[in-house]
Amino acid sequence: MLSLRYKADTSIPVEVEGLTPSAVRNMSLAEIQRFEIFHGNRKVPLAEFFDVSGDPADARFEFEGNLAGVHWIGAHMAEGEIHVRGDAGRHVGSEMTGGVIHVHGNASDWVGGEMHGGLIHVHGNAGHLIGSAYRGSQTGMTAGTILIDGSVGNEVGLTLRRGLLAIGGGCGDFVGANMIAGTVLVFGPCGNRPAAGMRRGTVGLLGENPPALLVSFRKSCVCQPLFLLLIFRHLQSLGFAVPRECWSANYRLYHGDHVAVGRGEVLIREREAG
Amino acid sequence: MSSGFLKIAGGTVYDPAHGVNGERRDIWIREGKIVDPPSDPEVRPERTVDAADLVVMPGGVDMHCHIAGPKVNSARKMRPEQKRKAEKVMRTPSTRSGTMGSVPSTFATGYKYAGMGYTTAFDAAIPPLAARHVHEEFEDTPCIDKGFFVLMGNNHFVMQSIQRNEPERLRSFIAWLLGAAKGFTPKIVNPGGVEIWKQLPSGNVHGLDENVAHFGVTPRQIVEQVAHAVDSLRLPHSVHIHANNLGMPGNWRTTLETMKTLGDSRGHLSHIQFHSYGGGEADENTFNSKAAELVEYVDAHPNLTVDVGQVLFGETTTMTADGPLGYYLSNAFKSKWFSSDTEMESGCGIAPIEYKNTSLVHSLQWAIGLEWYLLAKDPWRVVMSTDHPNGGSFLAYPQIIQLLMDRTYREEMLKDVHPAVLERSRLGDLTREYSLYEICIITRSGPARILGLKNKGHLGPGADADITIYTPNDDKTKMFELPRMVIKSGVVIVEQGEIREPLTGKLLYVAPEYDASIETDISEWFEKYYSIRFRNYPVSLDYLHDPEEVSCA
Amino acid sequence: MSTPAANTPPHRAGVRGGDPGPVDSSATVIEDSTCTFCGCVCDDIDITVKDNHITEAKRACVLGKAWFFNHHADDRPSCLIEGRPATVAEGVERAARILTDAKYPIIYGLSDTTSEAQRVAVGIGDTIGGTVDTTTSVCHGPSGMAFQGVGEVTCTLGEVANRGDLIIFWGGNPAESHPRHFTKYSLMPKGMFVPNGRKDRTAVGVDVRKTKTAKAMDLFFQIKPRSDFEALWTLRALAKGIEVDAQQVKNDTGIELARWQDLMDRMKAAKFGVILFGMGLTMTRGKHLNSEALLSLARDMNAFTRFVVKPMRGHGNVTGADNVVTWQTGYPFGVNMSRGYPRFNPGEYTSSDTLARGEADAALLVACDPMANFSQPARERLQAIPYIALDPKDTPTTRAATVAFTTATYGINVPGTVYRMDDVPIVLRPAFPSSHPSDFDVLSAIQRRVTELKK
Repeated sequence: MLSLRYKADTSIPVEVEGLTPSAVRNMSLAEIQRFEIFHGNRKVPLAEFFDVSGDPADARFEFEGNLAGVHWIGAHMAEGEIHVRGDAGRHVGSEMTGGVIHVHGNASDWVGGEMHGGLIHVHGNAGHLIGSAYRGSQTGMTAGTILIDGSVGNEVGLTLRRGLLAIGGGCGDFVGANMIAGTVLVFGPCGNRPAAGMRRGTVGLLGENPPALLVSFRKSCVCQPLFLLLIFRHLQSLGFAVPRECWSANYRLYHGDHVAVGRGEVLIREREAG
Repeated sequence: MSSGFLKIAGGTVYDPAHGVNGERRDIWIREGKIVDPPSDPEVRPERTVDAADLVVMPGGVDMHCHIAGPKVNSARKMRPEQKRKAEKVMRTPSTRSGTMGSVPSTFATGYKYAGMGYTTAFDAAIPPLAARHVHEEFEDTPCIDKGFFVLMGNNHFVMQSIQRNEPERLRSFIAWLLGAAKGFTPKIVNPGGVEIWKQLPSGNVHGLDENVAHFGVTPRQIVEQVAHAVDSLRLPHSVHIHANNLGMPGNWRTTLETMKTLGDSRGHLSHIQFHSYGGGEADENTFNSKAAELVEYVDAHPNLTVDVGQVLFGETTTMTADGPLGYYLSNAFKSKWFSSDTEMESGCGIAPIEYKNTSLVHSLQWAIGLEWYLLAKDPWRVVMSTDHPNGGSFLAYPQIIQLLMDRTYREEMLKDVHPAVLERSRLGDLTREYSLYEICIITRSGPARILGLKNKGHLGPGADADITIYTPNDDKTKMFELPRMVIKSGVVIVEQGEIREPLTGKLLYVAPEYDASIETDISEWFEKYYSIRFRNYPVSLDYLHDPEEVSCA
Repeated sequence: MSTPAANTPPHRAGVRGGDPGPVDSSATVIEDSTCTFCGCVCDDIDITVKDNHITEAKRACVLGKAWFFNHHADDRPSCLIEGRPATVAEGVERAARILTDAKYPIIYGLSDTTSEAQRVAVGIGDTIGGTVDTTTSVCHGPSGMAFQGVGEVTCTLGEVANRGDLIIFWGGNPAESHPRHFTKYSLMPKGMFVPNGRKDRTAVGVDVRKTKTAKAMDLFFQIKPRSDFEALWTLRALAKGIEVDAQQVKNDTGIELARWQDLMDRMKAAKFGVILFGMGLTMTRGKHLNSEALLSLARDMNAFTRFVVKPMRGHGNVTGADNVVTWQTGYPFGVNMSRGYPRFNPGEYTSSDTLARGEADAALLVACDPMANFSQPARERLQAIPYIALDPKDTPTTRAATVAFTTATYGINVPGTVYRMDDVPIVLRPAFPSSHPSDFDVLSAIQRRVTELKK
């Protein structure tokens, strides 16, 4: 395991893009300490901002400290495991293709941006555009799993192509907007205009007081979809808490967004009687 | 005392304009021009480039590309996702950073052209209302000399003059407009079709004799009359035509008709590959190549020239002044779509596209481009282009060169495309391989001559000292991708892929004479219909960086 | 050795468009002068200049008149360093040091200046590895983002004047923000295909409150605040013939379904529909997705008839800023060059964010006033970092600047090029000279110096 203890105190963005378990696996500690990262427009050696110790051979990183100002942690990662014991910045796990990232704190915007595989678990809150496409992309995330225990901001799963996103807390506006396929489940409250422009895929609004859907969604039926229970079981096996009421609840199914292709589904948990 | 001479010594020189085919020669340069060797044998050059065993050619000339102006810039704005994933153009102490993808930023465009040994490029389609924008972008496009063609095929004053059967008026207007924009020649794009697009949903013309509503002219008349006017003005380059029905199955007939309409007038048909399709009306299943038929006609008519518009497989961006075409493509590929109609003058459509070798149509398009090169008898009249970026990036030119020079390479690629190519085109039967001499013609000597640029595309005394030096390599893609050295206006601007001196480059324009009394007419027309004042429209000479007038015969 | 073109500022800015005439006490009339107050960029203003004052501005609207009349030659110092007068050269030196010492310098503003000056500013951003952003990011940036998602169907303003027969104003108040727009472009002109001018047109307004614009409309839709997205979505559904729930439409938008249906019928029956939209869409909840809904609607409509949209751009040359930043870097605004090449990400590299999060450690502000307009955290950060401000006016931003340059006003004193809201480039015809340097002059000097320092 490679230990990276953050020792800097700067509000200027620190970017560690390229620092992945694969990249340093065969490097000596001294080489890793010289690994170039960016502090604003300056290239600096990793050791200037992190106390680096341990052994990279098992492809496991342990970041420690308040890394809210450190960006691109785990970006492009293909294998291995990263733990952040503290907050993390923007673009956590961006475009990763494999491996596991745990943030034991909050993360910022663009967690899992255009992700292509692997698992990200943020145990706190996260920002906007989780599991989303970057601006202009006609396709977003294509594979992988993102679990956020807390709440997130707007445009979760924007233009999602495939993959599973689960939000334990609430989400902001436009969850699953322009979605192509894939699954987004929100267990807490949800902002407005969910699934706008949705083409296919599934959005589950499983919290209390779900918002109204846009006029271009068509109510279908009330059901207890089996696939949802299978996903819940899967989520639990990954250490994500699924509220008890979700297991036995009924779900109202809507089809839409008919302004787009309209073969998507939105499942809204029915309020329990009484 | 410095002699001011630069000598390129002992290179293997290709200068088809002077019939020089791989001869060992010296080239002398002074004050930005190629000159005769000094008569005094005591005079030493300031610098000698040892070009022994290296191939020396004039700098490349791209006579049809889209690199500046509002259409190109909108395409840049529209494709951040492509730029994000593309090659990064890093800043250096003497060069600016930039982005690539199919629509590079301006500095990157200049550096990349130069890095490939190209020293002149012409933007193919500019609405004159935006001329100023183009001049600004050109000033930020270093290393190459530039010019542009002025859109006129859907210009209201042009159509009115034709309808009124007033060729003198048309002639004067064209001359005035070229001078106002500081452009190079009239460009006709889907004549009449773009005007109909502005009037009707999915509007377009489908034949040369259709009436353009409200204006009472036909596409045929527009082509004929503008071509006459250009020849009577003795512009260095002919009228430049993007014919009606681009991309449609069966459009080869429209193309042939357009060529016939030109009669004896000079005419250049651009990206001819896109206009060489047989087949039924909009029926993909009958899509086939009619390149051979059209090549035969062009070969027999020396007044005609073409550039190919080669398609390469991969992602790119279509951008065209042919507004309805942009709409059609974006619907066909379900992609994002930009369209902008310029008052009184033209339109534009932009849509991302991916050419796939699994697609029958795309594979045929690829094949048809190659057919044109391989079937044409006269390489002086068939110019290499990809209609950058419509068929692909200009960075693909080295690959096209290899496809033309190396039959084995071509056959390998043929194995990977849609099998229908073998039945519906002749490419499988064509064994011709281009020589370096012929490549030199289709990438520099030919286009320079077609553009009427007497000082470009050759290495004789008086030519601009625009020279590219290549290291010979059996892998022609590699050879042409990375010249050893590029000289522009007598300055070494690129060495081993590195930009040494990013100079600004010249703006080449024409200023044909015209009867100034027409300006009264034009200003009245402006007053009635334009949203900008007549006085503010023309671009004055002091607006331009390093302008050079190319005289009219 | 010649100066590499990359770092050579454009040479024409000093001579283009005609230099202002000599100081003269008799009146001069400059015809077809250009007003840069709003995005209309009217180029038909005949101004009368006397004693370095503009005394008349024929055809200018109330905003244009205020623009032209309020410029006087003044003897404020051209440069202040920490509030004390200094020479421009000293200011340039100090500015260059601030910018090259910084690790995350930002360059912001740029909309109220010439494209020639904008080009130099972007070059400075490249050299110092900074982040370049323009006022677009707080205005129609969201529309730019929407454009990147779905594209845009648009035209130049002359097309609106010649063809537009159904004109919809959405989320803006052009009667007050662009006073000559109706007359010059969108409602009054007797165009080629609308020969009877206003009579051949139907004007529709959609806004959350009845403004002066509403009064000029034939139809007005006063929608519920922050329901633009729902309204646009309803129209998109109607265009596609999708049945929608009337009660929900009424709840969502505050307008009866029947009225929306009527509007859609008119839209389909139009020959050339035009939607002109403003901050009501881009700066309310939904932002770029509001813009995207509108751009998508226009695209949908082209299946039935010709339809275009136009964002109503504000400041005179904000469109120019978009264009310049795009052609030089490939991206329109919020462009970061810290790592030696351009990167784009609104929300990450846009100035209100880089300041509010305390990331910027120096700034070069050109023709903008963030000290008056930005959020509290952003202003606090700006206060805390060294920054350089260029502005013809004395503003909260210039007053708190480490180095403040008083620059000549573009269009009044300085020639150059600007871009109208529809991307048409127009030259400026300046009225009288100024003792102050132009933005172009100051920025060029800074660029030369930062280039030397970065070697």
